[in-house]
Amino acid sequence: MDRFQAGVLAILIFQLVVLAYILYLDPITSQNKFAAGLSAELAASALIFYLYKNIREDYDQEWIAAGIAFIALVILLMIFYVR
Amino acid sequence: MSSTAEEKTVMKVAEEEVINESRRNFLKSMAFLSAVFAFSGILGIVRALGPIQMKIPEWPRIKVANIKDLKEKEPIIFNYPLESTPNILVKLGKRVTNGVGPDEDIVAYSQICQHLGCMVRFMPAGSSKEFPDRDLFYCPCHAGFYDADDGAKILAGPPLYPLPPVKLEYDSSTGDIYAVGMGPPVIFGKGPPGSTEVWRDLIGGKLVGGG
Amino acid sequence: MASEEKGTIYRIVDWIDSRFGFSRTILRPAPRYSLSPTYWLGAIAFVVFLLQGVTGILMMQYYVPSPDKAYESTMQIVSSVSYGLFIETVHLYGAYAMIFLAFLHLVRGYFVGVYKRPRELMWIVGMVMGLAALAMGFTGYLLPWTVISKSAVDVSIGLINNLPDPIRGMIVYIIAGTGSDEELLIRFFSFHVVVLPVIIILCFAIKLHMFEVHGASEPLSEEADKREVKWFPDVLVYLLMLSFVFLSVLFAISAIFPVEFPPKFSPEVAAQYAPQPEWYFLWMYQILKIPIFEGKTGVQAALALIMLIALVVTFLPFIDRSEKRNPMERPFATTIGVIAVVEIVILTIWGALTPGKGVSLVDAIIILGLPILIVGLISRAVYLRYQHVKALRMPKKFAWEFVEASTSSNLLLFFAMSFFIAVGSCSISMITMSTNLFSAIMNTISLITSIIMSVWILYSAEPRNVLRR
Repeated sequence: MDRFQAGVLAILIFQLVVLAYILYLDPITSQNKFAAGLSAELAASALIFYLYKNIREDYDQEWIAAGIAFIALVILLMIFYVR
Repeated sequence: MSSTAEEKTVMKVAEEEVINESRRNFLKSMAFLSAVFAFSGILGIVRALGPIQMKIPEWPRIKVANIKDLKEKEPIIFNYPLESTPNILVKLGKRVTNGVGPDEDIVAYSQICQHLGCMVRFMPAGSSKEFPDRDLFYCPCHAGFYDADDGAKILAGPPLYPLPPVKLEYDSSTGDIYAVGMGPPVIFGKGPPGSTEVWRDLIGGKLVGGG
Repeated sequence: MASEEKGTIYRIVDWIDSRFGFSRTILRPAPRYSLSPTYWLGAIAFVVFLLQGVTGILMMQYYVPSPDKAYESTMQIVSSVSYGLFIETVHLYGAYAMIFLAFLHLVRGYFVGVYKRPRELMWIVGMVMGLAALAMGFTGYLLPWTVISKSAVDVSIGLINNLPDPIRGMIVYIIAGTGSDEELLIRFFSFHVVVLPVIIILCFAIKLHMFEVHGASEPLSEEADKREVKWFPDVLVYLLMLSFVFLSVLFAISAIFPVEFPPKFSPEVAAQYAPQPEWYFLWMYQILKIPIFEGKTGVQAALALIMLIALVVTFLPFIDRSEKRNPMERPFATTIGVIAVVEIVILTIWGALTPGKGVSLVDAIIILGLPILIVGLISRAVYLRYQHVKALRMPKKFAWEFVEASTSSNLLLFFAMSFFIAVGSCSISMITMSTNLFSAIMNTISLITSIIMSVWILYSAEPRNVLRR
């Protein structure tokens, strides 16, 4: 298992954890946390799709960095800002 | 990578043969699983078809101030029960019917005027020409006057309903003052004007205190 | 694990496809140059439309279309239904997103000339979809029965009442029935939930079929990568990637800015709110505020003008008959397009800044006339300089790989420059309207920045870079 595979697996496990968390939340009082978590999940999926799509060419590091930064920002908002 | 298009096409064709087959299969499985997780998350919203919560959220109980910090005739503005509904709390210095505290003189009312929604301000007795002997809540937009000494009822001006009172509780051991509810009429903009259905004050915005 | 899973999934997909046969009709291989975001604006708009359908169906289980209960049932959705606030917010922002994406799709199609032969009727079907989408926004806006939405609809019906007589009666009757609140709401509800979605879905089916017949419009440069990629899994992954990115941003915005409703409509409360249509109609509303359109004939003239614009855009394929598609070869059409987009943006921002207030004729002439002048001058400069170059090339110093690999690089460059020209024109107009020093300074900075960026783009794509290999 090289670093690339480990990275992708980490993203997948992150998705599973976030999915379990948002499905466990109360659907009325913590709706916005659900929305933010869903947003992070979809972005993580999009990241994996981007890696899959560009398998022949070089990955554009900037897009990957932007994707990870966006996911991190949304997770931070989910934990600390939205109700 | 930054060569002409022809060279790039040749390079791409060559690369196709050395594509990492196992990496591609790995990514395919991962992409499939990832899509499954994402769609499961989205499908979570069908919970909306489930039973609805019949009870209205409860009145939050928040601490407004401590009696030691209150000065007579100096109002404090606080938001309750929603973050968008401000109220005025003031220590009047004389006993009134719905006042709390050791002297029964602390009252709080919604700051939103019942006429057209401007913010009222507190005017202590002696500061207004029209009603010099009463503490007032005065709305500057259309000159509405509410009686702060008597349940914020209307003294003059265009408003039709008194300001909604905030139900306060005083904890004599610590001196803290808590807001625990609202009385009728409904806060301006939250429901039909003058309605007594105070539960409407709780919906349509963010509840104070993490609700 | 990997090869067995691959085998199983592929076997299932092949089995399904051999029965449905979609891969022979609508899910055919796509050329590689079409895997670029500008080709997918319409598809993403349709994905958002599907999202609107899902959230709308969920809300429809609780909404009651009667003036007494509309607001209360909406409040119940927002406060008591599981994920109700989230669904309501996503529905609202999704509506904005759908209209915005449809607009981008139209603008991109205009500048690249997709409406030329043989795709003229695709353009017209697309315009029908776009008008239906705007109508969905209009009808949906009334449903919560809040102060602002009912007032806006009242104003719109008041405007329609200015039309000449046989048309007026028909349109008002279709929309509002005999005029009572109950009939109005029920008609708007039925249009919003049944009539308009059916129209959109039918038009989508027609367009999808026509798209498969004519194929993706060819890119503007000859070196485009025309090799085909299979629909499953490659094009599907691309579609999912773009959709997920878009939905992710949409949900994040919904989480941070959940919707808040104004109070319920009642004539007393409505008196203090200035009726303001939604942002996608603000430009029309602003045109109506210009003093030469006052009075009954004035309103008729304004409505006729707007209708004329809509007709011109709809029947554009029969007005613009040249075969050229590259924006660099169509100076007149491109300039008019940039001016139109800039004017719509300026009118919308201006409308948002002046709610409920009238505007003076002098203001209108300056704010709307200046951009025409500026865009015209810049466009003339651009075309004079590059008249010997068929298409702009990205220079070496901008060689980000994804841009170079994209065959729409010249289009990207053109969009970037149009954007900065639009920002600059807006800034000039806003400077004349600035009410304080801070906004005047910000607008001046924005203007200088956009001039610098436009000049930089112009001069870094020098002709001699094209000839040097």
